[in-house]
Amino acid sequence: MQRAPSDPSLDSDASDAIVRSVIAGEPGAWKNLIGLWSRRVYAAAQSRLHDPEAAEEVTQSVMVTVYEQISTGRYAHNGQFESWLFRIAMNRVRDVVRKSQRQRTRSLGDAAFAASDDRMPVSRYEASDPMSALREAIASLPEADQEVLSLRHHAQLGFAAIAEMLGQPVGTVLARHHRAVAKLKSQLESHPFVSEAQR
Amino acid sequence: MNQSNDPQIEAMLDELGARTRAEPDGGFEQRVEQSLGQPVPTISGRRRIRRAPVWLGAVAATVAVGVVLWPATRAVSPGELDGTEAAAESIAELSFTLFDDAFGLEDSLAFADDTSSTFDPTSLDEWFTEGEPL
Repeated sequence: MQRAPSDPSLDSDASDAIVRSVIAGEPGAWKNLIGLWSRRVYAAAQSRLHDPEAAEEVTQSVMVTVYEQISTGRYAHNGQFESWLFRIAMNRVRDVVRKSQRQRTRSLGDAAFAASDDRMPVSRYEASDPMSALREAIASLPEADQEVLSLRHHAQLGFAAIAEMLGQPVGTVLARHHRAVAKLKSQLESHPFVSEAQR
Repeated sequence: MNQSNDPQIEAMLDELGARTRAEPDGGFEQRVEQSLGQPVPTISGRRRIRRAPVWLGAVAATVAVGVVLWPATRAVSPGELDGTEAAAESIAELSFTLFDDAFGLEDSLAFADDTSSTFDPTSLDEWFTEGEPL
């Protein structure tokens, strides 16, 4: 059922070894940790924020928190580092989204707009990019669906890790992912590049 | 439950994820590493490590060139010195001499001497008691 990660860098034993070496204070361990996870944190943040600067800022903020927690002994490793890492990341992302909504509400002075539009804009992407339709379709999904897709495809988390992170049963996460993909499919069916590929 | 309900959409999502992970430049990991050990950056505070802007290098280069060239434009060749400047034994003395030439310092000092020698403090009492005649 659960798709095996295709990237060998995502091997759970190797990930676990990196976390343990960081906790042990081995030289170069932080570089390995950052090399393995920082772009995945960035991608998860960017998929929700659509702002490269904000996504990089979130990544740095998350890594600083991880560093502080580990270096002060407040992190107890129990083999669920990824869930912990991305829980921090998604909390930061939610903070940024909320802050952005408040700023937009203030600048527009239109509470109705904020109530109806709870997403960051996706207009930074070029319309000619074939992925733009996909991004816009994702952005039209409910927050919870977007989060599952982001964690699965941008952060490359397994469903078990997502379930652990969200505090939900794996079956619930799988069902949500299934529904989200089905919604995307129905939205993109009319798009030329999808219909061409289906022919 | 069939998780792979649409391989094409899932492949597109994977492709989008891969592209997004490839977005940051080569210095991304280094900037993240540099941020460790700093206070947790507030999202609104924008305290994160940033790429150095291009204009910073241009400004630094301009200042460096200016520092090198400006003293050369201010240099006085020996042929331009008159007797006063040539006779000065120090920068302080030369500065005083040039200031004196420009503002007539000796005249100002002589006026101050005259004023203090002719000043009568008792005249102030008369001024206060009688008032100055209009």
